[in-house]
Amino acid sequence: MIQKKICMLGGFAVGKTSLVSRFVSSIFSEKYLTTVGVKIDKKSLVVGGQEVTLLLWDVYGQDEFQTVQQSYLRGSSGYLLVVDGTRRATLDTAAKLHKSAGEVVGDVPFVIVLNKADLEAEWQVDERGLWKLADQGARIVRTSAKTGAGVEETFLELTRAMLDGRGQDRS
Amino acid sequence: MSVDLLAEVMQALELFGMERRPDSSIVAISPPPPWLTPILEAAGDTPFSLAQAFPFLDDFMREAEAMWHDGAASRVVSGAFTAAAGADQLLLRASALALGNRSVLVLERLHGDADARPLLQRARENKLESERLVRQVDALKTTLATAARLAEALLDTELPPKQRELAERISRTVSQPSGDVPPSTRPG
Repeated sequence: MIQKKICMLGGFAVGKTSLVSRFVSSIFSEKYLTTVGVKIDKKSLVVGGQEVTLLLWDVYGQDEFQTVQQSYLRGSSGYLLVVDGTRRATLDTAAKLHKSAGEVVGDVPFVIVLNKADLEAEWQVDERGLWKLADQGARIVRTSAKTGAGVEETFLELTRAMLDGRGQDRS
Repeated sequence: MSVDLLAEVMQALELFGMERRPDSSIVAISPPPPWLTPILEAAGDTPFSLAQAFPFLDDFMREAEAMWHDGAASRVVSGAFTAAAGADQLLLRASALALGNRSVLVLERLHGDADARPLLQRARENKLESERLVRQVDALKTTLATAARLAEALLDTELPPKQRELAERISRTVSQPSGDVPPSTRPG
């Protein structure tokens, strides 16, 4: 069986843990519970006839209190860059994390996840900054961990890209 | 120090010591601390697998193996990781030690002051609240700027004296620099 490590990267409170909970357990909680260190969940799925086990590394959100340790990123086959659509600064954090991840894992597939689509009326994300990041080879997907919209598709999209061996230059 | 005393010290510090043997097997060298019990029980009759119980260690062991093999350092410490133990989420850290020709792995539960979760939770909740207030202030400023423009547009039209006076008051009030409270609305 194929096993792939995926890192969830993004600022704090953007919804990384909620996305994993929604994908793995179909659960959503309104309560914000910060992640310290890393929490690993597993999910098996069949993609293109291949059984894959995803190791989902839910890494704590980067902020002024904690910088993501590069050791957490090692061995990652792909990553999700999570942005909170209602908080403009989380896009800058995602861009910084993308740079860090690139230094450690190189050219692996990643997807930009614009989370909290259920609050779209309150979105503040700078579209230009978003496309600038996407120009580096990623797709932008809109998700809501709360409603479940786009969550499964996002993980499937990344898994397909990882299985195809697609990196930034080949997507 | 006697072996029994060392085991008690490990228990008291909630540390779990293991040794990586030359054949790559891993054996416990201290009794399992209480926090490990629910994890061992969850394994049931199946042989306990470190990587199964702590997937994080699967990754960390590569780093540890490299250190044990190269002998370049005598200790490698992991970042914090969480593991489910019954209903609890434990915060743990692993250390790989090279003690002479022996390879030791120690799991440590981070709690009390070493568990940064309550502190970071409060700090991040405060940060979120502060961000929310900044967004509210920004929205208020936009509204005031619109009101100021509308008042100016109104003043450019023919108005009876009373209405002009009111429009001028509106214009002055909404044009106050941010953070200033108009004198007429100050308490006392």
